[in-house]
Amino acid sequence: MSTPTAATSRGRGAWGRLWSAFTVIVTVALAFVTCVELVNTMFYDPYGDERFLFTFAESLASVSISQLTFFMFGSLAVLLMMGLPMAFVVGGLGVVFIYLVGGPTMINIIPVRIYPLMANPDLAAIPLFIFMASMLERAGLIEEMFDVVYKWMGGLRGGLAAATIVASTILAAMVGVIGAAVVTMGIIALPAMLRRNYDHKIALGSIMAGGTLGILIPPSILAILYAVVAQQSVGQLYLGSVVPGLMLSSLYIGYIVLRSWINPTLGPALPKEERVNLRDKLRLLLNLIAPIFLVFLVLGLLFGGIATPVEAAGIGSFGAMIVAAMHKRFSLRALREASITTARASAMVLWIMFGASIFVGFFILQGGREFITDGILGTGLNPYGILLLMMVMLIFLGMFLDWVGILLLTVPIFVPIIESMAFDGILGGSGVDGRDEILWFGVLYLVNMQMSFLSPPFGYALFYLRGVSPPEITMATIFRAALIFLTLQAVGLYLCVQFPWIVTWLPHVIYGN
Amino acid sequence: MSESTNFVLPHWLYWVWLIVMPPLFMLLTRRRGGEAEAPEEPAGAAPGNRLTRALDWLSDQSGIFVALWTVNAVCAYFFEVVARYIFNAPTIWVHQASFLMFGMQYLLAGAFAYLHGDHVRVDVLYVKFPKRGQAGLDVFTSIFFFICALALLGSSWRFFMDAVSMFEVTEETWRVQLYPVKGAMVLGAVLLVLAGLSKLLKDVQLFRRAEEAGRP
Repeated sequence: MSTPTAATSRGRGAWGRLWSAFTVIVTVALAFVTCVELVNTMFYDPYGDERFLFTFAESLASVSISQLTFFMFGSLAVLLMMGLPMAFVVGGLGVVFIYLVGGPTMINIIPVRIYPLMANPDLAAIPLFIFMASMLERAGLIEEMFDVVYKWMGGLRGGLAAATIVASTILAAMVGVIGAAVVTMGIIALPAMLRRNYDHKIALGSIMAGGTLGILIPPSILAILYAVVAQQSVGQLYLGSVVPGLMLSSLYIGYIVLRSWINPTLGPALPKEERVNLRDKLRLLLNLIAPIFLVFLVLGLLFGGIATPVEAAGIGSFGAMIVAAMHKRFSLRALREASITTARASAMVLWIMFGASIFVGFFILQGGREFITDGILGTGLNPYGILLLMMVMLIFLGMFLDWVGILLLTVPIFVPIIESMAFDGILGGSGVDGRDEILWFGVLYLVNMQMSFLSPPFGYALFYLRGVSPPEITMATIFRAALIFLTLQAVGLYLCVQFPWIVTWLPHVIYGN
Repeated sequence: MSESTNFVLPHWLYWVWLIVMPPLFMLLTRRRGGEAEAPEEPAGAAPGNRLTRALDWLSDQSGIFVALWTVNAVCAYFFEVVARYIFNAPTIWVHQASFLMFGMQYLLAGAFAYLHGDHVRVDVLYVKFPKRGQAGLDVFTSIFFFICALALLGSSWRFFMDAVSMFEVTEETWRVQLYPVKGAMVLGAVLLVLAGLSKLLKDVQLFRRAEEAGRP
């Protein structure tokens, strides 16, 4: 690597040159240290005293946990901001700190952490559900769904926005990730609403709020991850999130219908001549029979205890291929493309898990969990105050971090804290049974993550939508639209805290107490 | 339970199928598709040389190879549920065969996802930098990338050798060999190092090119 520091340029100022020089020097220095440590690790006896040039191994061995926490999460934040993919930030820093604290032999815990994730039977549901979604997307199902629901509900005031939510809710029951739903709805539903002079905030908000429901309504990928990390049953978590998901969806619809009923200019109904008659409506519905049947099949197998989540995902994927074939979109080529999409998406999720399991695993090994727990309990707040604190932390992290990352950084630490506390109800509401606490917290966590997708300034949904909306829609409008639905979301979250039976009722009915 | 009479996938067939099936499928889809896959990046300005193109090709093909395994799992789970409920004959191998296959897939597809930029990054500040600045940052942060990948390579090599020396098999009834799964960790790490090398070379080139463009 040559050092291009001598470049004198008119275009860039002294700062540019200084920046280049700085980058090169720091990089070379750090690379040198890394190489020396590599030689140390590979060729020198870890128990001997001899070292090549120098070593930093175990130099942090006697550092207290509070300082270590500061170092670990400080460097995490810095490196993340520099744009290295999260998986390698946590993985790389995990290795660095293991080396600095425990020395070269401790590096051998890495495969011991990663291997159980590879051989985890529950995680196989992640690629399978992604495959199912990807196959259904290829079958053109999202477009069709909106088309049908929109013709059914077009006569209502605010009908298009409500149709967007209904279609998104059904879609959410087929896919467990959010990107596709927001983007596709942004491409089809947004122009349709703008053409009918819908209020921008309602139009945009309905797409974002509806599209993010995928994270909450089963089969959510995030729920699988939570269940694996918190050692819960995936099926129970899925059951617990059904009612809150439908509740949120009805909250959105209620809001839209109410607003446009009071002020029809916000969401005018379709003119009479554009509506379709009942016969056509029923005919349209025929198109949806197969996909809807698939949803009921997958969820039915799952909730009936007939198949495990992984098997249900397998059946769903198989069914998705059949649905695609019925739409004449099935070919070996499509199968190949769907498989590739799946491998890329699941590799992304799993590599963050691999990296984070090294980083967080090491942090917990050094007593980090107790440190954070003491810190949180030491605030002297009551359980609900601590819960609120956690929710605020999650939303804050959600502004910057990816959902998988947040899950792996927070859940292993938060769940034991939640377990150690008793939630006896707040403001006269009913409490949560000790056995249901983790399930209940899991659903709150999912609702929270959905909020983080919606929250300005960095929520993913906002950017997905910005990418596909026409130029007259400004980012400021999208932010304002998101804020309205975030408020609804907060109401929903509050209801789940105040009335825990919203979460626990369905699992109790199905699984019994 | 008449498990002994049911069909059990022989171990050798499992491994052979995992190696043979993807190339077969790739061959089939290539003929059908006609044209080659469209390159993701615009060719003109993209940095790189013969070495990086070869490395990228390797990441790409290895990724497609393991991605195609998914199709097997979909069919296998379907078979399992049908066998259990319709023929009342649960298998002992479908679950293990499938999740171990996915386990290998996650590891081996890491380089593929890296090549296509699928690993999410926090781009709040990153996107605000000019191209040269981004390339500089990438070169710097690649040190941590290599620390991660090399540590994985070194430690999983040992882990793999342990499994080989013990002829380790799964604890459940099917008792399939585990060392190929652990070997996938080593191979995945090698692929990741190679993909990272290609990215690093391209970034260095981009960084230097931007330097030269800055000169009067």
